[in-house]
This record gives sequence, structure tokens and C-alpha cells, in this order.
Amino acid sequence: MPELLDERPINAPDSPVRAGIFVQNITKTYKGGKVKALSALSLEIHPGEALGLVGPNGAGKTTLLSCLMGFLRIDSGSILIDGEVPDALTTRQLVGYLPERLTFDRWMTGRDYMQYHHELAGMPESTRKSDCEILLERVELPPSTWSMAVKKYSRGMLQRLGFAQALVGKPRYLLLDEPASGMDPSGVLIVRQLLKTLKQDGLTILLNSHQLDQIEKVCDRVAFLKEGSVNRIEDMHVKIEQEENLIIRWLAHTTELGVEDFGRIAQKECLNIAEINNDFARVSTASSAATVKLIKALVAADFPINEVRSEDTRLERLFINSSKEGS
Amino acid sequence: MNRAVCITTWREFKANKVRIIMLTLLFLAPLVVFTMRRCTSPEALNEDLLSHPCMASLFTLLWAAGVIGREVQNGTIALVLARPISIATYVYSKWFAVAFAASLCAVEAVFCEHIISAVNSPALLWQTEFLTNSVERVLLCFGTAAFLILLSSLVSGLKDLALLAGFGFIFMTLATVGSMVHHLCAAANFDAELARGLAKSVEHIFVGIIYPYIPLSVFFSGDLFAVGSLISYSTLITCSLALAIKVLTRKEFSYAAD
Repeated sequence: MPELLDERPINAPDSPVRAGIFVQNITKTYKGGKVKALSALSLEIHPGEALGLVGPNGAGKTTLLSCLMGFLRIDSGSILIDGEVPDALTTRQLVGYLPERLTFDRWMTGRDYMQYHHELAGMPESTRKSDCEILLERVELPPSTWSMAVKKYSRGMLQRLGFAQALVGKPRYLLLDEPASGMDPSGVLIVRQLLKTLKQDGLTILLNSHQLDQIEKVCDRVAFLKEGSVNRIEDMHVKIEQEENLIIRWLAHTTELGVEDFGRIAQKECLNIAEINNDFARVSTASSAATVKLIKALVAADFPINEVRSEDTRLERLFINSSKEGS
Repeated sequence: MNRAVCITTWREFKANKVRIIMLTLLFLAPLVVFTMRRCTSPEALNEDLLSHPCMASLFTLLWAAGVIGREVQNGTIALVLARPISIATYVYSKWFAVAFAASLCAVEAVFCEHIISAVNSPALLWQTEFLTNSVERVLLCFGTAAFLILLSSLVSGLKDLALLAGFGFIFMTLATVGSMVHHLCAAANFDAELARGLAKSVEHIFVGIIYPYIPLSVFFSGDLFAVGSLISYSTLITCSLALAIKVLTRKEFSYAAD
């Protein structure tokens, strides 16, 4: 969909206005200052980057997105999107937004809804029909549903329509709050693929999701939010050595080697065995290198292993560690 | 003015069956009353039976009730304001959409009434009273719509109707208190002119807000009252819309606050 991408010039590197989203020391409170939602939060999102937001419920992720959209007024600090404040009309032209709790004018059809937002975005009438159809196809919403009233849509279909809506108006920045919420597995895969393609096309994406695997597969960096501020930022392109929890399965009926033999090898490699069975063990290794060493030792001992997999992803481990650090 | 916002306001009304039924009833009610009058009184056959321009206020109320409040309640306003549309444009578009649609309905109703009168008595066809009535209705629609847009921007859902009822109640209370004070002053042999003047002023302000009616006959007479009416009418529209914009600008539209 190159014709639906933003073709506006990005600010030159020497321009006084920096391209990207710059959040500096923002604070946001509710109920007259009694509830602190964001506390001295700072964040930079560079053009073309996909940044994931991870954190427990109430960490301030949705509040941050709402502040970036200009729906909420910050108490202090500053937010600049391409050098402009979030509620400037020029900024709104650059940003596509998908809220978590998306609400629709339920009497509209899917096509009407898209065309309405196309017109609101100030896009030309001549391309309205084709642009909307391309976007609806992009989120794989069946054409038979385009003329159906939105009130008849399932949760997953609404979410797809919402995603298509966020892409109306050739946005440069995409702020997504739980984009795959309520979707079936195929929908989740479509969203993941779409996010990857959009990122390749140069869109800057801010993704808030509880689906850590989705964030891990799409995002360049991940910001861990806790109690309204950024706890840590992880670069997903940098490899790190950390403890890994593995599940190992072997074909017990094809070998005389048993649980004792596995225990002996594990002890030799200084592993922690959390659980062991006839044909299955859950172990933790100190690093990826230790994992490789273990697999080599098992193969050398003719252990008929048929599956070795990580029990949790890198982001899950980081999230767990981040939660532990805080507490 | 944004075309998309206007069209969506009209289409949303069209999708609401209850409102369509109420609109039809509002349209038919005067026709039924006039038909009964013609049946019971033969002289009425020769009269151009037109309903009062105040019917325009009812049409406007039907169109304007919750026009912004429902979007605030549903959360759809957030996605509209996420687009490059200013709150001022949004408010003007809603006002225009409501006022234009209500004017159209009100004028259509008076035309129907006139045509039916003309069918009964063809000589009435060239009477121009219905034209004056139509213009008055249009002015009334635009004035009332501005105030109702303000009420709708203050609250969510259809609570603006409660606000309107509250406004009416305050007006009635003040009018009653004013009248009581006037009578008390008169009974105690005090100069009642000040109290009466004050009560009248309050009454005029309230009536001017709820029912911004400008009789065209007075308007073209060159009377000073007409100038005053015109000033209060334009003040009502300007202040109502400016306040609605101010209120919406200060509101936060996010479920994150929940």
C-alpha cells in the first residue's frame, strides 16, 4: 500500500525542529492530584522506530498514549511530536490512533465508518472509496462485511476496523493501544504481520500491548513502565546474557537412558532442575551459552532429545525481573 | 464548518427510530388539530391555519438533544478530535447541522399547513403570512440550537434535557418570587417599580435565552425593540457557541482516567 503511506518530507537532520516524539518529565494526576498516573516520565521515539510499552495494569501506559494524543492535559513537562504540541492540528494530521476501548457509531456500516474518518482526515474525495477499500483489505476484513452495520460486527472485526481507521490519513506516527485485543489467533497474526510491514514502510509505531511475544517480534525497543515512570528501556537488537528456563523432552521408549542419567548430566553442567519426569524436564541455565553446552552434552551422551524450547521469552523474563526489581 | 460532522449528525438522527417517530408526531400534531378545528367550525375553512413559530423550538429540541453529549458518553468524540478538526469547527458544525435540519423540518411543516389551508380555500394560497412565519421559525431554530448545543456540551448523554428542565424551573421560581415581591411591595405601600423592573429584566433574559423569538413585524417596523432583539439574539448565539467551545476545550476525553 505505498499510495497510502505518508509522503510528507521528514525534517532534515540540521533542522531546528527534531523529527520524532519527545516526552520530557511529564506528570499527570487525576482527582485533583490525589492519583498520580504519570510521574516525571521521559521518553524519546525516533522516526521509523517501533517502541513497545510494557507494564502492569495502572502503570500509566494508556494515560501516556492519551497525553500523546492531546486527550489529556499534562500537569507539567512537555510533549513534542515533530516539534509541535500534541493537540495542534498539524500534529493530528501526522498521527493515527487506535484506542483500547474503541467505540463506534454503531448505526454506520464498516465502509461508512472508514469514509467518515477519511473525510475527517481531510483526504481528497476522489480517492475516498479506493483508499478505504485498500485499508479494509489490508486488515483482512471480508468485503461481505463492509456494507454491514457496525453493530453486527464481532469484537475481532471491530478491532480490525479500528486498526484500518488508525491508518486513514497516511499517518507518520501510529499509536496503538492493545491492537490485537479481542482478536482470534488469525487476527493476532494479521496484526503482527501488518505491524512488521508498516514498520518496514517507515512508520513510527508506539505499541502498548500485554502480548509480550507480539512486542518482542515487532519492536526495536521496549520501555518498561512502572508507577507512572519509565523503569528501564531495553534494546531488542542487543543480545543479553540472562537466565533461561528450558523445557526438554526426549523419547524415553527408544533409550535405556533415564531420569538418573539426565540428572547426572545436569549436575555436571551445574543446572537447576525444577521438575523432571520420565521423558520431560524443566531446567534453568545461567545463559544461552550454558544452554548450548547442555544440549551438546545431552547429544554426546546419546540422549534422544526431540524438543528443547525456552519456557518464557526474553521479554517475559525481563518483565518478571523488572517487576521483582520494583517490589 | 465540517461537512462530515454535519452529515453524520443527520444520518445518526435518521438511524434513531424513536426520534423519527417523535419527529413525525410533531409534524402531524398541528395538522390533526387544524383538521379537527375545520370539522367543528366551518369558518376555519377560510382561515390560513398555521401553527405558532414556537413549534420550531420543539423541532430544534428534538434534533439537538444529546447531540454532543451522546458522543462524549460513547467516546466517539475522542476519535473525531484525533483528526485535524478543531473543537470550534466541531461545535459550529454540530450547531449548523442541528439548526439547518430543524429549520427544514419547521419550514416544511408550515408549508404543509399552508398548502392544506389553500386546498380548502384557494384564495389563501397567495397570503404571505406563512412566509413570515417560516423566516421567524428559521431564526428561532438557529437561536435555540446555539443554546441547546451549549447545554449538550456541558453534560454527557441526554442529561442536557435535565439541564433544560432545571433552567426552566429556575425561571419559573424567579418569576414567582418576582411576582410575590411585587405584590408584597404593593401591599406595604413601597415603591414597587424597582422590584417589578428587576423581575421583568430577569424574565426577559430567561425568555430571550430559551425562546429567542424575533417577530418580523416588529423587526421591520424600525422600532428600538427590534434592535434590542437583534442584539440579544446575536449575543445568545455568540456566547452559547463560545461557551460550548470553551467547555469542550477544557474537557479531557480519555478512558484512562477511569
